[in-house]
Amino acid sequence: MKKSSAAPLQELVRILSADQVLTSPADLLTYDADGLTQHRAIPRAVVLPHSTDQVARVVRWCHERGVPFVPRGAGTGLSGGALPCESGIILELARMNRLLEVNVDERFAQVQVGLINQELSEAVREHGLFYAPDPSSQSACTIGGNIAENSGGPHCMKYGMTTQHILGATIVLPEGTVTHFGGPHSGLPGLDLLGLFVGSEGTFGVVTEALVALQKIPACTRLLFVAFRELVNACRAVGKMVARGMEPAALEMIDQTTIQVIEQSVFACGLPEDAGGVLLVELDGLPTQVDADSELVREISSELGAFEIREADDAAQRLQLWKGRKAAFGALGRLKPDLYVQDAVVPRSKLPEILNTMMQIARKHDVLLSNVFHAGDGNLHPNISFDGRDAHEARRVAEAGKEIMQACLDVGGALSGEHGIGREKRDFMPMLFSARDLEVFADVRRVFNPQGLCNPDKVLPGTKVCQEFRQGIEIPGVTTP
Amino acid sequence: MTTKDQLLRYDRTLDCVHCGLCLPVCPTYRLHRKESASPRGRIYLMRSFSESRLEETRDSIREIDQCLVCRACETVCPSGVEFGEMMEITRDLVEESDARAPFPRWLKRMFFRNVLPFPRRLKLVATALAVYQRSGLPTLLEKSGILHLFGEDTVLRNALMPPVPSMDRRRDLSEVHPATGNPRARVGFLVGCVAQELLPDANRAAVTVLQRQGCEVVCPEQRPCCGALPMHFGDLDAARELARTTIRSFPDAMDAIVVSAAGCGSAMKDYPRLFEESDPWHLRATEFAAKVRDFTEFLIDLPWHPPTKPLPIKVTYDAPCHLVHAQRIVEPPLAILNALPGVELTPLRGQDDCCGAAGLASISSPGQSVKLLEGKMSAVRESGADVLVTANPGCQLQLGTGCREWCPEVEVLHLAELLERFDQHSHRQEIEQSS
Repeated sequence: MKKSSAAPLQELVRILSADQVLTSPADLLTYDADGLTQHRAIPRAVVLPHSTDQVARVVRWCHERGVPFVPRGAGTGLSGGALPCESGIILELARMNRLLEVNVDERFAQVQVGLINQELSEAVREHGLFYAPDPSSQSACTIGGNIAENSGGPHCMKYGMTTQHILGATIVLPEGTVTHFGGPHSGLPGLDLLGLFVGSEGTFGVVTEALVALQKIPACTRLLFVAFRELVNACRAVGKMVARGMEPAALEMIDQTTIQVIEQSVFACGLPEDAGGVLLVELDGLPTQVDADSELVREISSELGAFEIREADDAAQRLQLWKGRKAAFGALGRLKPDLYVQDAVVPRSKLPEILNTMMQIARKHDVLLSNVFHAGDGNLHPNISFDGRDAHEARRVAEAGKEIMQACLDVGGALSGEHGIGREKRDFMPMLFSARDLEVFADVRRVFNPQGLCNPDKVLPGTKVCQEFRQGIEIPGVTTP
Repeated sequence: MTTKDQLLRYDRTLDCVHCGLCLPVCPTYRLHRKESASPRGRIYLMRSFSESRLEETRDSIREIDQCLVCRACETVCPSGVEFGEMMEITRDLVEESDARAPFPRWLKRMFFRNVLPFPRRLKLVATALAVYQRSGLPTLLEKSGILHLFGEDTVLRNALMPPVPSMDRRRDLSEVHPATGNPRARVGFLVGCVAQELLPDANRAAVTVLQRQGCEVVCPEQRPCCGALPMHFGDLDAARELARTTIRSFPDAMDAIVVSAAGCGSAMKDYPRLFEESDPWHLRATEFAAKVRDFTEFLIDLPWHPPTKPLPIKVTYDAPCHLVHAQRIVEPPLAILNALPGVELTPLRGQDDCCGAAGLASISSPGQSVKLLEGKMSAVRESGADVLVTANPGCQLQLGTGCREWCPEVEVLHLAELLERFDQHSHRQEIEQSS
């Protein structure tokens, strides 16, 4: 096997075409990070295939030449899952964005994985259908990225994560062969390898096409927003609603800092800026059920001292509130140049306790913490705003982030709710898993990805295929390649 | 390149947190699906220039040039990144770098500094263009293959050139136009530079409509160019000079400065940022900018009296980027169209997407511009409209070219021209009734 850095990139141009292979410094630089900018690395080339066949040929070339490759969608991921490998190439799937088939009777769609999540829902709306997983980045992120990370979203509270919606997939294995898993009908014979692929963060192979389930748009949808003076009371309300047997479509929490930045942005949606915390409760189903649930939300919220309980007037206002909620991450960019978006899960009942602990940690390290999260799932997003040019501040952020993570684990939580482990939390894995657990993970990965060239150095600690020139949170602008 | 500018540019780039929500609304990203052709990627390039991570080379500034500055990214940016302004500053800075080819740079600068400020010279250029167009040379040069020697872009530019109207239609507007009936307002009107030579009917219509709505309209005799083109295409010094001339041209005692060109209106509202706060011109520009109104928002605020005689007509509306994204004027044009009796307003798919005109971008990157135009035209065909209405000369020229090529049955009008048509229709009916 030739050494990877010596592999002539000209061969890629022959496999694809000149405009599908990017090698100029300006082009490469823009791929040095995804939605997580704390880790950066510049790839040797970016290739933009149009078809499964082209992906297979590129992957086969990488396999033969020993070149690491990193699959990438829209680059909106927040765990550095699409962080390039310095000695490798980026396999950018954004041009594979066709909606291949919609089967209304069977309620599924066949898509190329570069299709944008929201565009799928928009395309099938005329049939009264939608694609349920709705990560906050859904207006930009791709189905392929969702599959890799097993993405969630507000409505996964009721409808389940991405893995519940993927029926089948066309996969290019890391040595360049094409295989198909799953299919439109459940109960297929053979091993269920599809479940293994969804959420493998692009380390088992490259999904190029997917068969996805579509849902019927519910007869009635209602969005309530409930404002509390104290964030902790909002958390208690969440616990009570679920304990009383409610099954909301979405149950979201937004704290005061986040409300304020949203209200300053183009996505301002009329959230009360004096609230310590606001709950967005979406109810859907048959009108009678929605009515009964609305009553329950009002009752529980009043008991806990909510000072404002309102319903979105119509679909337009509902959409505006969701847009505001989903723009929270970007809107936090108003506070400081950099943002560390955390992602962790705790048992719902521990929400009030963990919020307290997190605030203490933030105070201790003197960092600016805000919270916006999928409360119903106990999926936290503590966000720390900082200026990466200040090395001291960046270090405090890293420390606070790790302590918050440990605190979540201490109350029985997990490392990630929906963003994935990627590069960011790779080294946190031993905090949750035993050495034996990690060995099993590595063994399974080796079955599909024996050379370790497919999205190397992600998810599992220990490997060092790539030479990253930047590690951990450093000061952007000081280090030059 | 000054340090202050550099700092300004650097600080601005830090507003972007790399979330990527701008990607799907960016016309060039949708076309090329690569990061450097997206707003997030371009901000990364700007940041890399200021951090000296990347040299300003022909290759690295290509994406800075290819940006349409349609500012669609600003309307979806949760972090409030002021992309348009950042791009203006960046273009001005890279203009000086060695990355620029000397001849196009010289040509552009000469046009901005020696032609645009002088209406007579501009008229001469337009007349020369008219002579060329009527000589049969455009077809001859293309058919003979001579044009192809200069590259495909040149062939495209030749084919996409808008026709120059006759000398008579291009004649200057008089200075003062009295209000019909009791005057309700006294307004200045920007006749503009290129617009008056290529789309004089739209200007005339806007003035007539304003008069009928009870406005006295003043068109400054100097016929200033507002400076939008140099402002958006890398010559801030030239833009400042034109801004000062424009501000000086309008009498102080105006209720509003009405602009029927969205690109110009947007630039004029942005005048204050051309001048440092310590510069006395900053205050003057701020006061002036506060009076600038787009034609559509001015009519709605006046408030206007819609025509009463119905004219059955199927209309669709394409929103100019500098109206919807830069000035955030969304409702007024639609409200006006909806108030027109007899008009059936049909929606246009991708109404807020750039048509590819983008000021000089249709000349600098004709290939990209035509691809965007083709997409727009298929939406126009789908809409089934007879008339395509817009509110900016650049878009009107581009859409006119598109319709001549792909939808010859569709007529392209400035909103003001459509309103004038209603006025004339009412007028005719009144005459018929009285006789």
